[in-house]
Amino acid sequence: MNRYWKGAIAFLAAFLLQPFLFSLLPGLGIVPNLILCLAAALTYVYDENVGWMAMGAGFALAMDIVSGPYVGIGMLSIIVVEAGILLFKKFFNVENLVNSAVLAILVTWVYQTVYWLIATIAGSNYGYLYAMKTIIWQILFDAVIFMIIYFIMIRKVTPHRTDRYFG
Amino acid sequence: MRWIKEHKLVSFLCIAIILAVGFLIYSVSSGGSAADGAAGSVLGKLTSPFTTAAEKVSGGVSGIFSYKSLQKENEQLKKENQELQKKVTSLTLTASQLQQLDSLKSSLNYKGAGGTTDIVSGDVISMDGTNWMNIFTINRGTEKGVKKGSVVVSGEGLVGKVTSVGRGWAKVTSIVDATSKISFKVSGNLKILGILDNTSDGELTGFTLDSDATVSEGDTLITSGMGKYPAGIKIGIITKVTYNSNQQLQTVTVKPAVDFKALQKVSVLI
Repeated sequence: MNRYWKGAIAFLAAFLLQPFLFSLLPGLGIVPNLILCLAAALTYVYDENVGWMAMGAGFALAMDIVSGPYVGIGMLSIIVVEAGILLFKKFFNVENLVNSAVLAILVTWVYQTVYWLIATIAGSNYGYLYAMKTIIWQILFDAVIFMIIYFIMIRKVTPHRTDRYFG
Repeated sequence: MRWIKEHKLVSFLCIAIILAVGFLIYSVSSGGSAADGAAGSVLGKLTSPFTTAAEKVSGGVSGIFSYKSLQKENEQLKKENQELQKKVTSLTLTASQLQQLDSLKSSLNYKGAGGTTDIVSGDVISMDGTNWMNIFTINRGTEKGVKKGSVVVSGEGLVGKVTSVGRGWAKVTSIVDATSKISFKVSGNLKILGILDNTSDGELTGFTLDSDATVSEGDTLITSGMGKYPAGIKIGIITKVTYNSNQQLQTVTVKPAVDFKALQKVSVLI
């Protein structure tokens, strides 16, 4: 099966599992953002990443429609994160565990910050410090999911890159 | 077209950002209700079975680990049940008097000020993608009579209002996420009235109509019945009382009674 079809199924599974996780862990208040983790990991791992970015944005839009305060807020936040990952890859063009871990932390922080910024412009009354109250736990959960996806996908991508006939 | 093919990344980013900003502007200008229609219904139907499955798993697992506390709670509920049954017996006489008054009311064609309210129960199927906002979607919609503006409550108290609705789903904005006025009374002294008119960092702020009223931290506030919310619903507990000398108002800060992050079941007042 074409890898983009597999990716689409993975994104669909993430989209359907997101409310499942929320209902499974009520009261915790924090669940990992599966679509963000998947979009970020695939954008980071693959060189030809426009398809993954588009899928991430599309499913973020779907999530906004189902549960977001405004349609487009999650989509715009995830696009900013994806653009940030491309910049990160440009300036830190070395793939290792440290860079991946740093990126895993930055992804969640940037996403939540952009989300808060857009919500504030739209009229939200929450201060930045209040919004970042539980960011540590969110970063932890998201970073774990990001690293799992990264370690699975990097093994598939590495032989692909060394294949002289790829493309 | 050739330029777009040669610059796929830039083209995608430009188009995606324009689309996202366009959706956002439309959504904000329409009061956050741009999600109605087929998309919301279809996507809500897709996620609903997974939410139901997760609730069952969560309920089963938590039941195993909380057996002793459940046993204790069961004993307490049995005692309360016995006391309530005694009260029901004593109220039967009152009920028959009420029935006679109702028949008199209808024979005289009397239309009272308050009407009966139907209640529709629903499950929370998804929450917004943040840890600070409290906007969520429930699995009940127009097919059950839910409308935009319907009041949503839970066992703990006042939750919020429906901000957008479709067939099989409704998006609820909590009272701490929407700046709407809530008229309140103090539970211990129903003569003290006030208005909660602002929100900040998950708490509600407002003022008492009588600046000399005796309110203190720990007092419970309930809806007064004036305005959009029916009377008697618990709003929250006062955490701070201050006197604003500029406006000469006694201001209160209120922590909501409902734990929004732990909400699973809510009721919509039709």
